[in-house]
Amino acid sequence: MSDSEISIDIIARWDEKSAGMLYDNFYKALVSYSLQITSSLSVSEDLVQEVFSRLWEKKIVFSNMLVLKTYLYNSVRNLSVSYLRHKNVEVTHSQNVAAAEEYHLDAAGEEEFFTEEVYRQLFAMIDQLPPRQREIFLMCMEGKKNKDIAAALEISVETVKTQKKRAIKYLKKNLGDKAFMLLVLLP
Amino acid sequence: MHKMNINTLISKSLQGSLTADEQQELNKRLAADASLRQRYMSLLESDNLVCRYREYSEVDKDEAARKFIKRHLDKSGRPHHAWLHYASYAAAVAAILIIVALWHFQSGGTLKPVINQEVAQAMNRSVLAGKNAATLILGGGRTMTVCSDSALAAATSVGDDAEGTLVTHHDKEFWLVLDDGTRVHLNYNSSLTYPLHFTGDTRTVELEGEAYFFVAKDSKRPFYVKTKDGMVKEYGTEFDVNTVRRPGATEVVLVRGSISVITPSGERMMKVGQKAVLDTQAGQVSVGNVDVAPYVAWNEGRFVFEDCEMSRLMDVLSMWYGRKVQFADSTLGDIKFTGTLDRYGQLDEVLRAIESVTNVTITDDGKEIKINQ
Repeated sequence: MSDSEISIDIIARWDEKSAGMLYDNFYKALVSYSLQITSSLSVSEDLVQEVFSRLWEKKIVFSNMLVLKTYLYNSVRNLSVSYLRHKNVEVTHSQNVAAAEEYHLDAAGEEEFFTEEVYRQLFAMIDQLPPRQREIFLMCMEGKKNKDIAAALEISVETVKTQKKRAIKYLKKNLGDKAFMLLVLLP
Repeated sequence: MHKMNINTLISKSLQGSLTADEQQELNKRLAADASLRQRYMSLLESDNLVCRYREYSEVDKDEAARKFIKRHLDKSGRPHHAWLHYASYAAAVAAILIIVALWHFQSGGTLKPVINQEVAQAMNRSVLAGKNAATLILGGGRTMTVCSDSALAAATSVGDDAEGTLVTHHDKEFWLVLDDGTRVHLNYNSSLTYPLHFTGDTRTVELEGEAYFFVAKDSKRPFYVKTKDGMVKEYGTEFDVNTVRRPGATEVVLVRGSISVITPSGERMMKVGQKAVLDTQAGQVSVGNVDVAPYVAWNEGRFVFEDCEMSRLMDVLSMWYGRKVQFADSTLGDIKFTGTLDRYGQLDEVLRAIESVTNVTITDDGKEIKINQ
């Protein structure tokens, strides 16, 4: 799902479709972000669940997507950091939540969220690629040569080239303005 | 035009909400500022990117969404129909049948080893600390760097290689799962040669260095670890093999289950909590009781040192953190240290921990660790 299909209005309906939209678009990316801090998949999953639950219970309405994203990244970061800090102490929810809700942004935070946002959008696009194309694309990003990819997957070099081209075309089209970053990377 | 914050520009570009002026401004700054371009490139530094993606793709959002909807929406007065209840009973019955079927299926073949939460967490921390990496060597001298088990699986899943060798650097380690479900934790400076697919009636791997094995149970196909000093034969178990701690010998510590060690002089069974030393030079095998804790600790993210000379302790840190070591006075190297250190901690924290229990001061300038009285 591309960003334009996430809608603030749908999220504000607080029904099954809103929940689906939150989970489809943000859950994996937020868990992956939290994982960089907590180092534990199960902890990170719980923390992100907690962030969504708070949002849901308080029915916070956001004026636009940027504010919603800022809120999400910020809450996840604060909860994860506070988990690390209180790891050996019993943390009450109220403590956690108090920390998560100051969504003031400093410059360092903004840069970090920006990185995460790039990952989130790019990963969602990679998820959409057909499995074979995705594997070829990932191997190519790992710096493997066409002929090595062809050998590893038992297909012809021509097929690797075509599939790679298709994957890149798809990503470029759907990432729009962001494509310049990929262009820099791809051989 | 009002000078905009560069991060705001980029964020807006990601939203697709840049005005033409802003787009021009962004292009200009990217073109003018090499370090800025560099930053965006490193942002998507491809190795890291692929690792992050593999990690990301393992998160199960559907299960999480189901839990969430159950918690927040099921009680909110959605109509429940009687047939839905029957349907859910039917689903429950189906689930039980599937579980039974799986159980029968599994007990016929290999049984995957269970790892505890500490080990699972240590695996994650290793990845995040950037410690989980190895070089994979395939036939014809093809080599590639792998930084996750899924990357390894992707690299070896197709192709006609029969075996592969994984080699770890002095400051890296690697977790992998073999074809039969056996989990291996390969320590630094080690190499493991293993068949990509186990065929025939034995499972044999070859080790140099140190590895911890969580072997998948399979009574029909014994698992062998070959070292230059002998062989370990196992029957579904956990154990540590180290060919470097003692020069000219292989040490084997049995943590769970049962194994035997095989040398030219014969086969010898071991009991849990025993250590066998296969000494080729002396041509003998000695078996004795040992505290297994230090041999397990490194799987759970800890270094355990017991009555260890400072010089040996520093040898380990020097490798793991890539530093040189200098003692102000060579007698400082003889100080004994007993304690547990965080394997994935920042070097600085680790050094402070050592200082707190010894009477030395330790400094680190990023290249060299200096130990002073």
